[in-house]
Amino acid sequence: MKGRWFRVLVLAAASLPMAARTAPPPDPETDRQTLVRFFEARFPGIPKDDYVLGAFMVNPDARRHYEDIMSFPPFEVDLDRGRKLWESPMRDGRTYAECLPNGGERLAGSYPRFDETEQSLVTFEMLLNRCRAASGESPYRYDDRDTMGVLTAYARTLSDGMRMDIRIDSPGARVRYEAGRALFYRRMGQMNFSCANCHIDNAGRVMRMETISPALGQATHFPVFRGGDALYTLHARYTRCMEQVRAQPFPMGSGAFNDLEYFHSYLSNGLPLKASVYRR
Amino acid sequence: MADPIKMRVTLAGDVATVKALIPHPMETGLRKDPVTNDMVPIHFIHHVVASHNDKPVLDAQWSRSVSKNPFLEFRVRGARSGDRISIRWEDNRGASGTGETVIK
Amino acid sequence: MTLPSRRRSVLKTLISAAVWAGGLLPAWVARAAERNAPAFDAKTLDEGLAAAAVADAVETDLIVLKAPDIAENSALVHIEIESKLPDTRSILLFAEKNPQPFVAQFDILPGMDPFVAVRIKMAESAFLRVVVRAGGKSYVVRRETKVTLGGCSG
Repeated sequence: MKGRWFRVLVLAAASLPMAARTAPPPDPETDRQTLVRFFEARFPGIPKDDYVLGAFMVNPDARRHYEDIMSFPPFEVDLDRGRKLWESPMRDGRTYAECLPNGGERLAGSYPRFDETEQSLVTFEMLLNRCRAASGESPYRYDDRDTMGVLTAYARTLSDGMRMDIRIDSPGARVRYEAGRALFYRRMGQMNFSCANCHIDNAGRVMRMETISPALGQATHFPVFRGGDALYTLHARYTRCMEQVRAQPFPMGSGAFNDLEYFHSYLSNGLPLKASVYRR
Repeated sequence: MADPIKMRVTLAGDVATVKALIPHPMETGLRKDPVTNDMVPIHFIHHVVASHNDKPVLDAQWSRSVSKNPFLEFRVRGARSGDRISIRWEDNRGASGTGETVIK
Repeated sequence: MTLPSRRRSVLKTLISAAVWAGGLLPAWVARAAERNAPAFDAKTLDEGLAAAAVADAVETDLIVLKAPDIAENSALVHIEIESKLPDTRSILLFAEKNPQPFVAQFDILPGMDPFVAVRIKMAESAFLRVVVRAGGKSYVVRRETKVTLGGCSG
């Protein structure tokens, strides 16, 4: 009798690998490694770096098509617009490359980063807006595809190949990480889904004709151009996900999304960045 | 039509592989503008000619079913470094555009 | 009596060239084959094939048609076509269930390999059909591409 109940409990635990959490939060690296092992078991034989391909990693036909599109993607036209913004001097004559560390190259994988002075997170897009402010320009809106959207879509390509390197090395940083983690596992909306329900528990499964991508690798490849055309920054994608579970989305660029991005990006530590990419 | 044609050419032996992206909305006439809710008028490239050193090698007729910002790949034989590859298009409203690149 | 369409278009090209020589049209327009409007405007595959005069095409394995089994996004389907038939003159592409099935025609002039890649929109799951005019005859190959509509509509 006892043995049978034990089996039931084990089965229940196995079917809810990440969702059921009541114990104090584990340390971030232990937590991340647990997740990596979970995905290794779910997707045996998939090379680590393939996780940046999302759902394409488990579908050779879709992956071939992705590579055909990426050989000369239609959104290069949009990236060109972003490059123009990137190269145009701002009010004081400076460019983003002159404002940013390392000329803006191999940089995006270190963001979001916790600013100890301000005791708050700085995303890569906020960094671009800080450059604008320093040069006497007004900030771009985080939900404007024609300015921040194309600018970050181009600027992030300068970090292609860099491996994600998110640091959580202070109590203040840990607080933001935990806030992002809590958001990731919180069920919300009329559908009562959390990020984890889809992108951990159901990753690799097909839901409404879409293969669900794993949480690991997602933060490495934004912005995406859905259908090769519609630009989605990571925060725009979060917004869409929240709409899909019928929740009221947080604003793009909000503290809540910044927290989520911090946790979400940390999960992808060690994976190569690749912006901007085609998604269906 | 301010955006120029983007072209990439790779030469292997005497075969030049040309990949081109032509910025164009390629409207089918079947789509509603999400803001105004009006039908977006049909607007598509219907004719494309590619030339090698001014000699046409490809003459294409297209319908509205070709995707937005059309992609076109073709291979030119007898090509050499320094040769010119050009593409010219015309759409159903009579607008046109050209692009040219020199094979490296 | 009507001429077969290819001979007619050759004739038109010659006439156009003559017009061009007179300076009435820019060179690139003059070189163009006449647009086969009835074929492009046809609302069904059969009408399109008839208007393009390729209804009698014979099946062959000498045309390579590369397309995804499942098109994830119906607005962007990458397709590659290569003809291994000698004397390939034209490559015609049809998406059999599009509102106007005739998608594109590529006339292969001397100096070009009989290969093209292009990206198209597909209205729904359908067979793609490629017809090649070579050596005075028409040949055909078909391949099914399924279109998955956006499942996450909310």
